[in-house]
Amino acid sequence: MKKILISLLLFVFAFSAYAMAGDLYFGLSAPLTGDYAQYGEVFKKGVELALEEFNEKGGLNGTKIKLIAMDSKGDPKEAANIAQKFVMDKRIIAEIGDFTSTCCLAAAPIYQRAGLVQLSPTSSHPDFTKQGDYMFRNIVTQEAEGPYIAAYAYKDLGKKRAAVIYIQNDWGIVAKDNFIKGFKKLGGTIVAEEKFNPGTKDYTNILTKIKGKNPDIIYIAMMYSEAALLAKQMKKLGMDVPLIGTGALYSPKLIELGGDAVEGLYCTSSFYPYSDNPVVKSFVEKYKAKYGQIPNMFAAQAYDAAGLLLAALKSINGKITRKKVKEALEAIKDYPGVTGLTTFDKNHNVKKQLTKLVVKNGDFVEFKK
Amino acid sequence: MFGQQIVNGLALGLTYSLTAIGFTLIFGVLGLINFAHGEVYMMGAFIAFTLVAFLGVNYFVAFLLAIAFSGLMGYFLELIAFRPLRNAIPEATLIATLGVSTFLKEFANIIWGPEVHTINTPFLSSSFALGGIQISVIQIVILIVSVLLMWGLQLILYKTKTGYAIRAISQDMGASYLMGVNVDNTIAMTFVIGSALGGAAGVLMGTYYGAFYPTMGYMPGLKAFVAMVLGGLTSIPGAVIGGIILGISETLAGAYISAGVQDAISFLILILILLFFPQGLSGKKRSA
Amino acid sequence: MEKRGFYLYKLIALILLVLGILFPLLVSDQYVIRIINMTFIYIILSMSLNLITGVTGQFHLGHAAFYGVGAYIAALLSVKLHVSFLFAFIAGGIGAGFIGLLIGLPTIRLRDIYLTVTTLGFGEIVRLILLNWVSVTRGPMGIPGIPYPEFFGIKIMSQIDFYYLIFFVLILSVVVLFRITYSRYGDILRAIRENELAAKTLGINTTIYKVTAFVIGALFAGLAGALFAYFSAYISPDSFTFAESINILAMVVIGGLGSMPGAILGAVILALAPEAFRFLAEYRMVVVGLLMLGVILWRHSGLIGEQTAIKFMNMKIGGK
Repeated sequence: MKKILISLLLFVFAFSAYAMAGDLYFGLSAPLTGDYAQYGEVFKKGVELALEEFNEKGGLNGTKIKLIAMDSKGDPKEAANIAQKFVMDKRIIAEIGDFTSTCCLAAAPIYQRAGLVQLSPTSSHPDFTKQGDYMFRNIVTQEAEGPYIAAYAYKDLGKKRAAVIYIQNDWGIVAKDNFIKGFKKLGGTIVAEEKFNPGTKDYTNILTKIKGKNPDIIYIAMMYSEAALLAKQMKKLGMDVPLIGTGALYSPKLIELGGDAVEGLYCTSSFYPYSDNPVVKSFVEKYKAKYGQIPNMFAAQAYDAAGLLLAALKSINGKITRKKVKEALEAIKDYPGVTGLTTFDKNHNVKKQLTKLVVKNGDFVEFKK
Repeated sequence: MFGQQIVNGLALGLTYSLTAIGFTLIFGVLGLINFAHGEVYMMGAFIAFTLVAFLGVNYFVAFLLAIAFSGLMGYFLELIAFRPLRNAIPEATLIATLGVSTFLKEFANIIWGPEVHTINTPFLSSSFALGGIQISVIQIVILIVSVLLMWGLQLILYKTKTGYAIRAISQDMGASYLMGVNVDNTIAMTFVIGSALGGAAGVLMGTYYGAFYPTMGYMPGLKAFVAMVLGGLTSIPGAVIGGIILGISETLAGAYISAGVQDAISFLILILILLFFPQGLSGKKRSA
Repeated sequence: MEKRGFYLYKLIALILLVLGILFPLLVSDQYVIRIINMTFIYIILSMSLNLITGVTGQFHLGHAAFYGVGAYIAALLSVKLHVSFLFAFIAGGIGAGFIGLLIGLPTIRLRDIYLTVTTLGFGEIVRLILLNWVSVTRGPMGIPGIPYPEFFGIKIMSQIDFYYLIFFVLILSVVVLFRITYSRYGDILRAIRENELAAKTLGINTTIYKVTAFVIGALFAGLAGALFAYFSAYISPDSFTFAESINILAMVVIGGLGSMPGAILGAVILALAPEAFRFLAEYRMVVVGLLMLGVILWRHSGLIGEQTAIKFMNMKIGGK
């Protein structure tokens, strides 16, 4: 009896989540709790800001676009549950997320079967967009970014001996493979290749090992918060080798956490908040006014993901359906986002202009030769 | 190179030892695993961070206040999750502490946000070379604090009445009660001391890595548990040695095999040691 | 006559069985069915852990390793070697059972907390191997594109198809584990838990019993893993963490350690609660934490404790 009562009660709770009908919704699946919560949080902030702007300007002919954000905890199983929930909810016309590729991949078959656009702002797993024609990503793939960083290190900085440190997740493996391929192609040597498991925060043993190999640059495939720890530990070990990495390093938080240890760090980014581009300027101002901080790359990616979907919605004639959203998204040409002009290619990947950045006097500045 | 790796391993091991001291003390008195220890560690660290970063309190003062706060948390932890379950099966307490741990982690996530925070301690994080080996000031501080805590705790356990009572309860709670030991107060006291030590470890670790975040207590809590078992459950110096063995084996495995398998190797060593010494390295025969 | 009448639990089981069969006809929401499917998988996991930790008293913190091994064996066999569903499914169970044998063997020498930490270590080692043995498991990239299960000409595709497949395996597991738990074999396991020395004196080879309990528990966890792999079509090491082991343990303890109805109820609650509170977004795990604490403070030996369960099993309706 109790069993039945309790499960009934739980279901009542479950369904109370369904709100009133009328408006259109985006679903956001992101890690709002757990290990990746810091990225999920800025996802939500970026998307909310984009929607707020859109609705203030009158929305879609008076219809407001709202957000339903759900917590995936970075757990693939939960992302799949969310996917099932979203595809059943007829008010949801497109989905943004998830943050990790494993979550995106676990959810993809469900979105594909139901025909709901899944636009990930960050998944760079090569398999992700191969899951079906409803999968999109608006982040530069590592196939493009890897060789670009390799050229930055080899040509612009004149480095010939690189060591590589990467995080043992899907993104880290793909990122380092592409960098290594690009760097070797240019004629450089990879002197060491070290990985660490997610959750590790003591890198002193691999750093000491790399120190003995005398690299003149270290390529790091990791997030900014890990990179800050790594830079500090390098300093404590008395290592003075420059670091270079992907757009995942671009965050004001890197400098706040790393202090003078990250001085001279090189990275690329599709988003640079001090750019002269008026779109970027207005985004940074509004973000700062609303949240009191400068947006990082992940916030910008999420903001653009929402922007792309909104632009697609606007271009639709007549009744909005999930299928039309997908077609409109495919038809977008050179959407002027804060992470650059965006067009999806036939595989639903994007090419973007990357900016070379370097940390100088405690701030990211554009790298000039 | 090898010398540096040993120092790296020692430093890592000491961070485990520091966490294991409080964990072992609490385990010793009731024979129960406290899954919330890592979260007390995290809360202690965040209190110190808040005091220093937002209120401009002196680091040392903040450290002491954070320890006091963690002690208080230990008191309430015992009151909520341990005392009501004293006659229940051990697994019940485990789940209660798991509930507390989940709550605290997400509570911190809401209060301080999921981002990683840091405080600036230029002197503590500076380093110097000693015979070609780099050592940082905070590593020395952690070493000194660990030794002091271990020594202080042994003093408390072996020279004070409270310590006597704690040891009596860990031997036989019922008999201690009959002999006039105030069981409730003594257990509460153990939690206060153990949690205060956990908080101290949290603050030092946050400073050492320059990173304060809601899930920071998870791994150290797990490693403290392993270190304690390696050291033979009830022995505090044993737990410290267990932590150091764990740290050095992980570091060397990472350096000479691969950092991808370093945790696996350290667990493998743990299992091998237990198969040869089923009661831990310095453990006496004891029915938990 | 005492023997007359009908056991209450049989009636409840019958009602649940009928409800289970009719459920997809009553509820058409695919999301709800998906959640129920996951809940069924968790019930198998928690019942299998209950056999090891509840009935036999071997405090085991690495159950996700069995679950993961089952999932990976089934996924790799079907994706790389294209073997049939039934074969991969059974191989997943047997593979996990073999790992269970490996973890069960130290029980000969280790007990209590030492055994606990060993199982924790084994669990982590298995996860780290899945994560780092990239050439076989694809490491963190996971295994996508696990095909739909197909057997005897039936192809399992929709949520409802999966529902009946998983439900069928669940019923099978309930029956088998029930037979094991409440049999002479189960009584011996409980005797070993209560007093191993006494059990030995009675001539019971306790080692064999403890190890077989591990193997059977692991086997069912492996079957659950194989089901999960087919059901989700994509697996990665992220799903088989220490946190997942703890989650399964929490189901068993909250339901009632040593009690099968408890293990089922605990799994239902802890699988549904995070979904039910999903609308709370970042606040939901706070509520789940408090729920766990609340339940255990309210009922120290779980919602349906072992004693309650045994009393319940003897309840009859009609007759005298």
